[in-house]
Amino acid sequence: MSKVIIEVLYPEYNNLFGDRGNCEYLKIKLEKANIEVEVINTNLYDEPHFIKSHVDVLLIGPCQEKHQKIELEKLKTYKVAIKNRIDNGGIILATGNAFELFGEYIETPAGEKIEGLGFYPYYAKQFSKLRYNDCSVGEFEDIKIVGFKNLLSHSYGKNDKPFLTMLKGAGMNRGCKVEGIHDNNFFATYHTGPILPLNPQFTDKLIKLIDPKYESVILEFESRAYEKRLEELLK
Amino acid sequence: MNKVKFLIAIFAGKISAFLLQKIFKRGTNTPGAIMLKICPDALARFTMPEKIICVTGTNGKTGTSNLLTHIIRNSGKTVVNNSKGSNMAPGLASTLVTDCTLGGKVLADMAVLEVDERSSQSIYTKFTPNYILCTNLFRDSIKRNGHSGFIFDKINDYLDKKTTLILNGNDGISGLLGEDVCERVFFSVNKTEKSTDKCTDTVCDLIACPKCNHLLDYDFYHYNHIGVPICKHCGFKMPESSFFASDVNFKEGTFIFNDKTGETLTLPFQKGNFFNVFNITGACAVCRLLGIDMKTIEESIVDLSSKIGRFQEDENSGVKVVSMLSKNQNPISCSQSLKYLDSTSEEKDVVLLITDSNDKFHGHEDISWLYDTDFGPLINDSIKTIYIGGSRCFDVATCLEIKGVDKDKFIVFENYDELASEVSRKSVTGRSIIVFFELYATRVVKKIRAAIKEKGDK
Repeated sequence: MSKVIIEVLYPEYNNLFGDRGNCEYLKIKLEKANIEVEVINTNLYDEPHFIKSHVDVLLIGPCQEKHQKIELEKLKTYKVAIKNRIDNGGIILATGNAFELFGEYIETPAGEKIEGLGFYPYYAKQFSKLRYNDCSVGEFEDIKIVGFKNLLSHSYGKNDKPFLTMLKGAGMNRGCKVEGIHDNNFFATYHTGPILPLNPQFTDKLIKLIDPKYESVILEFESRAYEKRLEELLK
Repeated sequence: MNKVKFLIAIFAGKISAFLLQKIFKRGTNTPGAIMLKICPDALARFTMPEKIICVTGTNGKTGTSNLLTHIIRNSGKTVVNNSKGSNMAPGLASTLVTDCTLGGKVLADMAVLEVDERSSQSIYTKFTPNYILCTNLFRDSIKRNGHSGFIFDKINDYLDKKTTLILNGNDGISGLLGEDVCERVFFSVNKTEKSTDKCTDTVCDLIACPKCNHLLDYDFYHYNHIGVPICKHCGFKMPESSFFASDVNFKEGTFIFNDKTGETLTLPFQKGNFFNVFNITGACAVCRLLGIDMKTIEESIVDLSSKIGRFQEDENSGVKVVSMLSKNQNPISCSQSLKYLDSTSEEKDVVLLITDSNDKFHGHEDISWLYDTDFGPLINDSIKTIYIGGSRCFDVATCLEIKGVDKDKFIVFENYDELASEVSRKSVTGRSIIVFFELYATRVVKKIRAAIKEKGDK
C-alpha cells in the first residue's frame, strides 16, 4: 500500500480525553510497517476531504456537549456523503459522544432537542450535573475491548447494530448491555480517549481493513498493558 | 431552630478540632464535615470577615492563595486561610470553625479561601465573596473535571453580581467568566523571549473562537492556550489588563509588575517556573485592589520567594537527586514539570512516578491524560535510563513509545520498592537522577533518596 490517508474531523473541538492517541497510534503502527501516512485535520468551516477525495480512515472524537450542536449543523450539510461512506464500507471511527451525532437527536438538560444525522433510531439525553465515569470492558466478535468513559449523557431507544456487548460497565445507558454502532466499517463507541492504543488487537483488525496485507507491528509494552487492564477490570 | 443547630455545630466542630489536634497533631476536614452534618448551611451562618477573597482555577490556586495570605498578613491585617484544610465545603468549615467565637463570628479582618472549582455551588451560594481570583481553566483530571467547558459552567452558574472577578487576561477560557454579570478586572503577562507564534504544546484548549467558532489567531502563546487570542472573523479579543507583568527575565528569575496607575515593582519568581509569574501577578492585582501599598507587596514577595520551591534537590556521594511534583492526572502540570529537562544538559536518569500510585485505593486509573501530555523533553541524548513505576507502567511505556521516546532506555517496575532499589543500584557518580512524581508517590521519592544515601554510606 502506498499511502494511508487519515482524516481527523474538527480537531479544534474533538480533542478531549487523550483522543489524539488514536491517530498517533495508527500512524506509528502503519509507519513501522513501512506504510506512509498522511493526516488531514479538517476544521469546522472547511469542507471535509472525504466528500470529494479518497480517505482511508475518518476519525471523529469526543467534544464538549455545547459543541455537538455546532458540529451537527455542519455535518447535516454532508449527510448524504456520510451515509454513502458508511454504506460503501468506508472506515469511520467515532468515539465518546461523537456516537450520539449519528442518532435521532440529543436532548439537553433544558429540554432542547438537537437534531442528529438520524441514521440510527437511538437518541441521547444529557445529564445536568454529574458526569458518568467508568472503566469498562465490552466484547466485539472475539475481541474484548477495554477502555474509559467520561460522559455527560447516555442514550436510549433502538439499536440493531451495536458495536459492543458490555461485560463490565454501562452500555448506551446503565440499564443497557450494548453500545456503539458497527455498520459495515463504521465503528462508533461511547469509549472516550485512546481506545486504539489500549486495544492492540482491535487496532490490528482495523488496520487490516485499510490494508489486508498489513503485518502486525507490536509495541513492546502494549500487550502487557492490555492484559493487565483486562484482568483488573474483569476481577 | 436553625440558629441553635448552628451553635451546636460550632461547639461540635471546635471540640473535634481540639481533640484531633491533641491526638493526631494535625488539622483535618473532620471538624467541618461534622459541622455540615449537624447544620448543612453552616457556611451561610458564620459572621464572615469584612473582606472575603476566594481563589479558584485549574492550576496555581494553592500557590496564589498562600502568597495572597502572606502579603495581606504582612500588611498588618489578620487573615483566615484554608491552607491546612481542603478546598471544598468541609475544609472551609474546618478553617472557619477553628478561628471563630462560640457565636460564629470569624475572628479575622479578611478571609482568603482556596476554592475547588467544582465546589462553587456549595460555597458561593452560602456567602458572597468580595473578590474571586480565577488563575486559569484547563483540562484537568478527567474523572473529576471532565473538560474545561464543564468546569467553566460550574463556576459561572454561581457567580453573584456583587463579586468582583480578577481574571487572567491571557486565558480566553476563564477570561469569559462573569461576562455581563460581574465587575471584572484583568491581569496578564506581556510577551516574553519564550513566547511563540504557534502553539508548541500537545494540548490547546482554545483553538476556535468562543464567540463565532472560526479558528482563532494568537498574537503569541505563552504556553498551551495562554496567550493573546484574537478572532479575525468576529473581532473577539480579551479585555485590556489593569495589571500586567513585563520584562520577564528567565535567567535572573525576575519580572516587572505594572499597576494601572503606572507604578512598577521588580519582583522575583522561581526560576524555571513560569506559572509563578502569573500567580504572583494575580495575587499582586488583588492586593492593589485591597489598597495594599507597593512596598509591602515587594517585601512580602522577596521574603517568601526564598522559602518555597517546586522542586527539591540534594546530593549524596556525587549523585544529585532532583524531584519535581506534578499535579495528579493533570497533563498541563505534568508537561510543565517535564520541561525542566530542557534546561539541563548533564547526564541523567529519569524516574517517572506520574500515574496514580494509590490506584488500588482510588480505583483503576483513567490514563487517557497521558496522551495529552508533552513527553518531548524525554527525547534527549543526555538521558540514559528512563525508569517507569507503578501499576500503569506498561501504559506509560506504550504512550512514550508512540510519542517517539527511545524504548531501549525504559526500565519498568510495577513494584515501587523494586524500582527504588534498582535506581539506587544502577546510580552512577556524576550522573543526576531526576524524579517526576505525583502527590501520593512522595513516599517512593523518599525511598529512592534513602536507598542512594545508604549506598553512599556503605
